[in-house]
Amino acid sequence: MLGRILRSSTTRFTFGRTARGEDMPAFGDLVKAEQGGITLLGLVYEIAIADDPFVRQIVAASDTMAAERVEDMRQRRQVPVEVTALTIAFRQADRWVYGLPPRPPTALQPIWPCDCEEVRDVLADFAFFRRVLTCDACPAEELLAASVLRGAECQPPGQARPYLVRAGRTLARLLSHDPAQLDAILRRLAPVAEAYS
Amino acid sequence: MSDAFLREIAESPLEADVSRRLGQVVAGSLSQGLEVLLDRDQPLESLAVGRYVTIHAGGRIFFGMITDIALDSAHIAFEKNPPDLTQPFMREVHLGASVFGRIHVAPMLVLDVQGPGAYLPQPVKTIPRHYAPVTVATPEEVGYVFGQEGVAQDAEGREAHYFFIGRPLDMEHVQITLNLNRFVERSSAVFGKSGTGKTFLSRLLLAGIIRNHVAVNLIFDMHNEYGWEGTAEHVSKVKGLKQIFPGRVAIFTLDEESSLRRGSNPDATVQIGFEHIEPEDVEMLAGVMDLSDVQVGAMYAMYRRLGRHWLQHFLDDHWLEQNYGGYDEETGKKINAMKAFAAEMGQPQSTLAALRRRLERFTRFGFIVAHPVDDSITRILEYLQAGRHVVLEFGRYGNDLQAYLLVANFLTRRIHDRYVKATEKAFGDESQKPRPLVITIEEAHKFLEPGIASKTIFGTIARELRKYNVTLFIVDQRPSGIDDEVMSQIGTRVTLALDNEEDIRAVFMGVSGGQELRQVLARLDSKEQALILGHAVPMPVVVQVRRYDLAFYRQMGYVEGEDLHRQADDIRALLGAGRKKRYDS
Repeated sequence: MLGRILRSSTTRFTFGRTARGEDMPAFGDLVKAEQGGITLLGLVYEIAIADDPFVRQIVAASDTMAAERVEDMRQRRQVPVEVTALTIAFRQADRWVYGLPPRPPTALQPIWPCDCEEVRDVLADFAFFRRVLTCDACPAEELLAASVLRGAECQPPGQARPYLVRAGRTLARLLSHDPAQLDAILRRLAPVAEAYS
Repeated sequence: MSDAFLREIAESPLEADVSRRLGQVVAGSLSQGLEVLLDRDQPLESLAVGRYVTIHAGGRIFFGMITDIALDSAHIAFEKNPPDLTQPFMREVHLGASVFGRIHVAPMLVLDVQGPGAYLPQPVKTIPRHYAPVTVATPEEVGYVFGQEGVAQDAEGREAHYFFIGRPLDMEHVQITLNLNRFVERSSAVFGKSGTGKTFLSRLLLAGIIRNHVAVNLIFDMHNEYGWEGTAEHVSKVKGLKQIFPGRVAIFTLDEESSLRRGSNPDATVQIGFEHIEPEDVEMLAGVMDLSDVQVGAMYAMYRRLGRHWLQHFLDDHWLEQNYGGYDEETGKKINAMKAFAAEMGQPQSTLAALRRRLERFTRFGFIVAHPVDDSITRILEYLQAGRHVVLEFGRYGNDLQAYLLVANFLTRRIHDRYVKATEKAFGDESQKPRPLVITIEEAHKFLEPGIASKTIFGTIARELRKYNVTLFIVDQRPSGIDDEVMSQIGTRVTLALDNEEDIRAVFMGVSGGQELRQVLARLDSKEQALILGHAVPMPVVVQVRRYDLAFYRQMGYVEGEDLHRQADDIRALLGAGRKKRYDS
């Protein structure tokens, strides 16, 4: 489990978690939550670490602090790390629907990471591109590039580059009105694609 | 036509076309043609205007011709600020998605379903729907539309002789055929700039007409290229029509000496009597002879007063002197014969003097004589009505435009007149109608230029269509010089390469969708590629014209050497002389 829901809406959900552990989600990761028999999928687009009184006092009190104490304060925070994901799809009746779910996940619902098989399955369809591109609150270019690269990582051997090319062509079609934005995303994908050659 | 093709269409047209797919229809109209977005993997470089495509939609097969090829982009920024394509990934993404190829297709014809497995070529009256798949036309499809060489029924159920004229671009095994019956039914034309092979192509077509007996030809052979022997690019000499069709083609000549020197063995020499020349024969030469309207009027005035001897008398000093000269009885002074003649005719003396200087040129034409030994008109008509084709060689007069125009106009006026009478006499009785006649004229714009086309017999024939069974076969390099009304009446246009914009525009005068074909015409190879459009073909087609060589002669029925001996032996055997020895053995 990655964490639990702090707040949510049909378009996005934010979950909290400790800073401990190796499983801290990364920007662009695909995560999922359950709600009333429906699995919701989101792309992580924001990871926020808020301050609290202890951190403020420590930062204000001393310039020099033992490394062990700093690490202890990091791990035992009183406030959680907040991770926000953009809802891109949900699973209903054994099929993925690329759109918004009927209801958001409720508070404290657990959040789980998606394994590579799920990532490959969900991100095989580029229908989620428009959802990302039309998200005002998200860094759309970065999120799209990160999610596509994540999708490429999960492809079977030899399929990563064709996947990236397919994604690039879909983006070229969707962003034909905005060549600058298209170029920004493709420049993120190109070095990785060439590395797969 | 292959049943396999029809079966393929009936069973699964779209599946059958996957490997040949070019793209999809994205826009267009019946009048402006179709816009086709090329699929990503289609290399533009391998396409060419003039090629055929097929579009399967709504259970029909639309045939179209590529008339333009264009580069396009999804956004103007891709043109103004091209993406960096140094990385292969970027190339793969952008080419075909951000930037892509487009072709313009002119819909030409549609194969309409008439029943199970039965398709009828129809004119296009609608267009395929959006995103209909566009494929390269197969040889079978093109072959189906144009039919095979030979005799068959056309779409209207009439007998039609199909003549193999050439092959479509990049389809070596497909024959494009012309419906010769339709070709001669209306006036037709071969256009092309100098050196593109007009004569060579015209000879081919004339050979087809002769071979298939669809009409008789009267050919005004300006440069002595059709009758006995002609020149060609790939060989020094090619056989003329008489060599290929001995016994069916007769050579008449205006210059016997030249014909004999060239070994063309003429059948008859044409002579024209001065007394037979009428003002109408000369009037159309007004441009080349620099005759003013007043001078033309003077000719008619003389004709009214002097009758058929007007020209002979007018050019005869002795006659003038005898009839209008002499001495004044009162003053004893010598009378100026020309002045007196002018006064008698009611014309200014200066007009007649200038006219005489111009008409005196006729006296230098050896074929215009005071007393012709034969009636050339009747002789030519006899040959034509016997089904023999007449090539009139001009010999050294071929270089004299005045002689060419005079003779062509003179003979054609009279032959047409006889045809009109014969046709009217046979009204209602097809068997009595004279044989369809095709008159071949070179430098046609000289006969048919605006201003004179309405006055000449050639303009009349072009406008009459097939009313009197006489049509024109025009060979010309300046179609823009031909009167618009005449151009619009030309049924079939076979056009070789043309450079001049006005000429290109003129070729498409009165042709539906002509504008779209301009690009095709402008890009023909300078040799032996022709765009054929009009009455004799189901849709416009670009062909690599077939060769005029020994294989062609043989196909036309020409025999020589051993074959000729064998044929002679067979005939002897048939006649009971089979045991006689061959002369050469």
